[in-house]
Amino acid sequence: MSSTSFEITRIPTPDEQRALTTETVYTTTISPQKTSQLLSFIAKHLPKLTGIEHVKRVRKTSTFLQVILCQTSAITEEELLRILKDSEWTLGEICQVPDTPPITADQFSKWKDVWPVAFRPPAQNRVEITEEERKYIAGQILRSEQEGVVMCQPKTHAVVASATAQDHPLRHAAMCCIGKVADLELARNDSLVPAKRMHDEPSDTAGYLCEGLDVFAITEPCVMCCMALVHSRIGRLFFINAASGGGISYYGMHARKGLNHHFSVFQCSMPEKSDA
Amino acid sequence: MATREQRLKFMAEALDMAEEALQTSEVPVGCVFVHSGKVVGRGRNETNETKNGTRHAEIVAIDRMLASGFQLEDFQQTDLYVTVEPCIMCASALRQIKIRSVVYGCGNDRFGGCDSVLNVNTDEGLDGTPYPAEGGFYKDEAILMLRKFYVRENTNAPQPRKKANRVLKTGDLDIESSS
Ligand SMILES: [Zn+2]
Ligand SMILES: [Zn+2]
Repeated sequence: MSSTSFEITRIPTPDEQRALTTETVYTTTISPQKTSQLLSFIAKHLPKLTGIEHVKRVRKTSTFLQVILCQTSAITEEELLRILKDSEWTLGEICQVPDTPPITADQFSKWKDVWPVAFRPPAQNRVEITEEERKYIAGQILRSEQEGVVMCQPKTHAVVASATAQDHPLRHAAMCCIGKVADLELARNDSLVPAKRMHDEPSDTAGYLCEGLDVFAITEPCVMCCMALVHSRIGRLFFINAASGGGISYYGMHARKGLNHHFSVFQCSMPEKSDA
Repeated sequence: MATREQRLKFMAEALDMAEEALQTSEVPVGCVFVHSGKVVGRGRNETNETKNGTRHAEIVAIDRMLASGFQLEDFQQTDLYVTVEPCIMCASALRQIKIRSVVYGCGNDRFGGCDSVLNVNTDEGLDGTPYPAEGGFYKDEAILMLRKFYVRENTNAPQPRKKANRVLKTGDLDIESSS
């Protein structure tokens, strides 16, 4: 039976939500027969395009082609005119081009109106939640309503730990749950013979015990808790209620440039018992 | 407001905590909390010992202080001295306990929440109270401590992770999950 009302919506990354920004390029207008000649001139004499590999070199108009010579950031107009002086090419319009690649269909439809661009949606754009996963997710969210933040193995769906917030300014449920996972590992280690203890291993793998785990919560974690989830390298976060000062809503911390770990985030509707 | 000299004195105590972390094979970040001119709390990284990536110096110290009777509202008249810029997690925690100000040693390019990556201490609309943060106090000493740790760790590690063969070199500072 497929559940009908339980919704799972992936929260876009900051890059996916980015509005169009542009930079400027020098162009020239030619007839189509001249294309290869011009391109070899450009390759020989003008600076390469850098950081705008998604931008197409040529834009078609009804009768002519408009071709990018180079970026305005690469050389001054004076320098460019000096290079063009002894050639058959002339400087045409200075045009705007999108300075980042579009990664969503929506961005692509806006970006390409400014200048033709290539569109290659990244893989994480096509995350699909299967029917079996929907039941698992619904079940764990219902558990989260009772037990606080819940962490599970995504493959086996086994619950690793769950925790509620404590009466303490920093012991939010997510922080407590990370602590529980650590304590479980410590207890497990203590039962091993000393030589096998993780204590004796080189150190910078500590704190990655939550790596790849699914995390379920009713309310979006705060900035502290979201960064704790980044430090812990979780795989996916599911919650129901967004929070204006939450780490995802406020900073897009699940997929922020500059942070070394990214994870996927899904906002869900409150499931019914029959969804699980 | 503490003078530069007083600040350096407290930062030296924070460096002692970082040194203690180094001696126990923890990423060497240390801190002290100062109230009315006195050190009222100390902490250093305990992420390895506890297997918990959130046990940064600041969180450890705050926990201990509250457990030993320090009043939550007294953080509003308390300043933190920490050898490395607080990470985003700790920067938010410090906001939530309403710390008065933060003084730090070196910046934290990968995780810094008080300037380097985000401005959790000053951005509006987040939980808690914004606070000023100023870096550059015994910066070189703080960096040197971290370098010692990573060089030692590389010597011990059978299979260096990612950035292989870290060497003593500026700009190669990797304070992963540690401050
Ligand atoms: Zn929180
Ligand atoms: Zn921290």
